[in-house]
Parts: sequence; structure tokens; C-alpha cells
Amino acid sequence: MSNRRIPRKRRGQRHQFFEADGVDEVLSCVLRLTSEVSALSERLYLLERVLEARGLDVANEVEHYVLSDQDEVLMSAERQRLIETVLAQLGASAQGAEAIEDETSGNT
Amino acid sequence: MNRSHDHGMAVSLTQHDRSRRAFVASLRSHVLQRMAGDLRQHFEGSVGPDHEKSGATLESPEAIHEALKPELPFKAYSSVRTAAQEMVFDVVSDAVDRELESLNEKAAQSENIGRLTLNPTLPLPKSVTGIDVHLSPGAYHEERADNDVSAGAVYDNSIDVFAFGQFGKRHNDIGATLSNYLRLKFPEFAPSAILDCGCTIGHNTLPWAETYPDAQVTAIDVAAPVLRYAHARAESMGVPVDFRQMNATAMDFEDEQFDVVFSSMFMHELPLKHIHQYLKEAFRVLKPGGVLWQMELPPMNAMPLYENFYMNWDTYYNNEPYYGTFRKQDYRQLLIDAGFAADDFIEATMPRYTFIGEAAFEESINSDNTFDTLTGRMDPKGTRWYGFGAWKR
Repeated sequence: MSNRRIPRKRRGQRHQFFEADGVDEVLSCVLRLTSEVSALSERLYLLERVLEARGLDVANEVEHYVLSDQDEVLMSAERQRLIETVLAQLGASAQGAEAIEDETSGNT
Repeated sequence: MNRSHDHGMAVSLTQHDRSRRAFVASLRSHVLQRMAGDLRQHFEGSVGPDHEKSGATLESPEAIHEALKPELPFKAYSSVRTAAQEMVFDVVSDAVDRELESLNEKAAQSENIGRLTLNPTLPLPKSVTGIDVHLSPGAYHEERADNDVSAGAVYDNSIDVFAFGQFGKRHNDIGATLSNYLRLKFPEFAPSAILDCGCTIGHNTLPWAETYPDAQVTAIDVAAPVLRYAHARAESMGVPVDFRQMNATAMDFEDEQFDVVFSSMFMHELPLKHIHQYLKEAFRVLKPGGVLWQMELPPMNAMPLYENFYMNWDTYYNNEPYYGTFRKQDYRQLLIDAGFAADDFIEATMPRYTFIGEAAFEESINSDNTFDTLTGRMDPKGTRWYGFGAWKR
């Protein structure tokens, strides 16, 4: 992933709509998570359609697949990116988020 | 790989980009249709009647706002809408980041059937630099590299998600609607020089060149990154526009240069003092016989009470602090104060030209203006844009 030169957090305090601290932020997290789940579901759906068009039923193969070391590295990096995205409103500064992204550079 | 737009400043979109953008567009649509509907229903079915029973009256948008603040539908609507707004910029920035260097290079090398004139010494107003308007990180003026276009690219891409298609295929419906209104309503009027103030990426500037192909079109903005992008975007579409970095409240133009002064969604972002300055400048640069014609939020005095509460949400929560004060003004009086005659005031609510086609559009603009839940709002059921202005004698 490229360096993030465009800031992702705006200046100023977020408005608080719910009385309890953190509820608005948690709601934001849930929505961000949902956007990722949606994207993933769509990817999987498209993948299945592409494979089906080639006459391949891969469901069984996926169930019995053994992960390689490289699989583990790539999937771990993607999990880290997902966590960063979902928790973007919970205090991690833009700088901090970039630092974490840089560590995973090249893996996503 | 898919491209974001059908012009030369488009960026490549991965499937992940496309899915995330589609999700946030759907979320925005859900908030503005379903959740907004729930909120209205809660007010009309519960909060309003309860206040009436207790003898309290809710006779102002501010009173409705205060009454709804403790209510769950308001909290949910506001919190989700805020999060969705933040996500708009988040989901489009990845694709822009990946291609920023090449975008900046492309813009620097773009053709010149039109022109770009920047003024690096132009002071930027605090109303632009002091806040991240629309909750957009860095707003529209911040520069991150030489020849930077990132703010323009983010804006162009964000409209796709923000407006979920309601601004038209090239985000140009407002400019197309207002320019075609003039053409159809005043067929004798043949402008030769047109000015767009606060043009950002020129998306509503370009339709003026299409509607009046013989006219010279000029567009100004204070922010260099959006102007660089606007110029490159227009060049890639083959539309000649003279883009200049200039403040609409103190223009460099000589008196009486333009037949049309246009703006869209511009004045509501200005402090009232700047609105007065801008309108006086618009009057000054208009030729006699020319017209000031602008798309804006409808005034509070024309809209139903609840709509005024609903529309003003942005002034409290979307970093648009001048919006509420602007809507409280008597728009005709604003123009009289700037030098226009009261009798020369014009206003209209118009269906979207690029959505319904010329025949239905022409029929509609010859009927009475309507001010209702579709006026000035993005709604797939049939938005009507509000325009107002005045002829200069």
C-alpha cells in the first residue's frame, strides 16, 4: 500500500450525539467494519462467479486448503490493515496509523 | 482495471475500492432516505404532539432541534450520518494516494485550449483555512506537493460517493439545469462572457460552455489544488475554460465584463460579511443587461418549518458554520443591498435537467415554483434545485 499523503482524520473534535462516551465512535467502528465485510462478501461472490464460469467448484478445495508461510504473512498483514481501518476513530493518530501501515508496506 | 471517471484525471479503482465506495454511497442513501424518514415520523407522530399536549410550541427550527436532541432517532441519524460523511473521504483517498504523483504530473502537462492562472500570493480567507469544511480532511486548499491536485481529485471522487449519483453522471446537473433554465426561459438572451464563482473542480462550470458554446467561460476559486485539477479535467474533456485563482469577494476583473455571473452551493459557505462583498462584486463585474444566477439552498422563509430544521443539520454538524445564517436572510434584500433593483429579482425551483430531459424540463419550469421536501435536497424521487439572482439594468 502506498504512503498515505492525504490526511484521513479531520481537524477538530467529533460531535457527541449519545450521552455515554465512546458510543458514537463505536458506531463509526461498526460501520467501517461493515463496509469491509461488504467489500469482502462482494469479492467472494465475484470470485465464485468467475470460477463457476470456468467450470470450477472450489468450495471443497477451500475447506481442505493448507496455509503456507507466505499465506500466513499476507493474511496477517491484511488483518492488521483491517484493524486499523475499523479502529480509525479510536485515538490512533494519523501519524500512528501511517507508521503501522508502513510496517506492512508491500504486503497488502 | 476500472476507472473512476470518463475523463483524463480519472484514477484506477480496485474491486476493493469499488465495493467500499458502493457501500458508503448506499449508507449515505440509507441515512438520507430511511433514517431521515424515521426521524420525521418520530417528530410528527410523537415529539411534536407530546410538546403540544404539554402546552409547549415548537415554532422554530432551533426549537425542533432542541426537542429532538435527546431522542434516539436523532442521535442515531446524526451519529451515522457523521460517520458516513467521514467515510466518504476515507474510501476515496486510497485510490487518489496511489496515483497522486502521476495525477500531479498529468495536470502540470495538460493541454491549453483553456487557461489556468494561479496567484500564489492570494491570501486565503479564514473561512476556508480555519475549518475542514464538510468534514473533509485538509479541505480544498491544502497542498502536499508541487503542482498538487490531491484536494481536487479527492473532491471529484468524493462526489461519486457523497451524492450517490444525484448530481448527474459528470456531477454537472446543477450547472446544466441552471444554464438551460436561462436558455429556455430567456431565448433572446445570448451571453458572450460567463463567470462561475467558487468553481472548485469546474464540474458545474463546464455545462455553461455546452449550453452557450459561443460564450467565453471563466471560473474562479481561491484554492489552487482544485483549480489545477479543474483545468486538467476540463482540458481532457476538450472544454475550454479560463480558470483563475481569485477571491470572489475582491475580483481582479474590470467593471462590466460578464453577461452571466453564476455560482453553485457557494454563498452558504461564506460569512455574511463576505456574502455582501461577493454580491457587490458580482454586480460590479456584470454588464448592464446581464444576470446573476445562482444555485443555492432555499431560503428559510420559503420552506416548511420541519424542512428548515432538517436542512440546517449541516450548519451544526457538518462544519458549515455560515449556512444557518445565510438561509435566514431575505435573498431579494441581499441583492438589493448589492445594487440590484427589487423588481429585477428572479427565483425558481427546477427539476434536474440531465435526469428528465429537455421537454419535461421546459414544461416544468413554466409552472409555479414549489417549495417542499424535494426542494434543494438530494432525493432519487425527484430533487428540485433552487436558483435565485437578478438582472442588472
